[in-house]
Amino acid sequence: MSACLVGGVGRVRGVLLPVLALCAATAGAADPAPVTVRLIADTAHLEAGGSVDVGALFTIAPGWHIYWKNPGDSGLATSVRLAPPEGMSAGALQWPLPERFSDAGGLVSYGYEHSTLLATGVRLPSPVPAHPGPIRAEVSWLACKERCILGEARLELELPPPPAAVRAATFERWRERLPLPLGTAGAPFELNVIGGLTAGASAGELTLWLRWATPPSQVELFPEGGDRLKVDRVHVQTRGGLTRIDVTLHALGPAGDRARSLPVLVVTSDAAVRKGYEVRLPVVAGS
Amino acid sequence: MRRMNRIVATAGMVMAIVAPGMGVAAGVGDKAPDFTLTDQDGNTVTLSEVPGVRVLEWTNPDCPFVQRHTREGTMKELAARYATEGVTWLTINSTHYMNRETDREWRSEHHLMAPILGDFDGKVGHAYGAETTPHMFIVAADGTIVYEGAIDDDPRGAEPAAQRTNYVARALDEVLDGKTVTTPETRPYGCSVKYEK
Repeated sequence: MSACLVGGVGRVRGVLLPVLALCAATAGAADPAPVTVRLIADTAHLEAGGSVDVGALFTIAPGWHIYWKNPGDSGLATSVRLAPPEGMSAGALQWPLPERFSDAGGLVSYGYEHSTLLATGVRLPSPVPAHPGPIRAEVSWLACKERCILGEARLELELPPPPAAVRAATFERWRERLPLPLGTAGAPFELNVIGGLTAGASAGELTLWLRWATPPSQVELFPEGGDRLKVDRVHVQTRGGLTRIDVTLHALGPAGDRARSLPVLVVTSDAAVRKGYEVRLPVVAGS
Repeated sequence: MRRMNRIVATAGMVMAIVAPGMGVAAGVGDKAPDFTLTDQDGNTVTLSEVPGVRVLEWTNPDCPFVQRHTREGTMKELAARYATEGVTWLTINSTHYMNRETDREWRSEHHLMAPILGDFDGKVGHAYGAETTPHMFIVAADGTIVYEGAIDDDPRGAEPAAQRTNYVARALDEVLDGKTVTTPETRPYGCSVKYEK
């Protein structure tokens, strides 16, 4: 059970970039790495004082998945840490809408299969130096199928990005898959929330009622949670213009330090078009 | 954990009162579901017959999180440290495709002291709601579950061991001092338990 090393080399503008994926040997040295990752940018044009979208593009072998920021019942959130050169700053990572995976034991996880882009804007200085140096990234993930493999990579992207790393269409698709942020007008439902954790109780039930002008064909809910709150069960039922979502909550951590709210994504699907809306739910009963 | 329903344990038999379509699992404050399982050498172990404080550790030798903690000696060192205070460490393997032989090899290869109990049909795992490997439970001397969740606060293993908070060690210290466990539940991390289909 020794660790194995999956090596790869990417050539970007004449610079050899070693891409190392450390993994446990469970899949055997004969298996190809289930996940490959590279850094890409939206544009080669660096506008002084502007920002350029940069992200880690994951290619995931069939049957495998990696994890969303809340991995669900098991798993590990994928991590992308961008380190831009001096004078530039990277924003918070933007996560596209996840998918739900349910395994044989009934355990639920949230993540991505086939391919995903985890990206953010990098703010540029004014003026942009002629040779600003590379954007570096430390990326790590857990990939699971029947078994799980940890992977990590240290990546570099030269600035301005070389043509092979400029993928405007990929970023366009990524933007279409980002949820509408909290507080933005335009959610197609009215929300009512009932229940929650009562004082002293470690578990509770929350019921969401969503009233639609035009109900979508499918509604999903993805809870975030964090280290103070765990969502054990989500049950969604739509009848006519009303959707009822029941959520079982479980308080985690020190008894005196309870979460007061739960960020969730409400995701609708219509004819293969998925849209997501960020919502923050109150979880203290009566609040 | 999913504490929608109660587990009733009688005379070594686990009986669950099940509401349709709902998960059934014991959680903190509940009586620990009793079980009788066979270890890697064929010895039977019944939870209720093991005196004192007991730690249950869900394992899967194929899981990279288990492999890392085994390399680092996390569980082995804790088990040895608290054995001197009368704590019994029981490792449970609910991985459906494994067997006593694989557990024996894993245990001997890594010189583990705790028995590995085979739960390959996953019944005990489901009774506790074990979700990940590792997933930890502490059962107090009176048979109540007083902690469940992660082994520590560092899922990625990015911090040196000395800088991590080991939830199980902290909870054991509190239990052995007769105190209430201040952090009775944390989010377990790791691979999903590979239950039988």
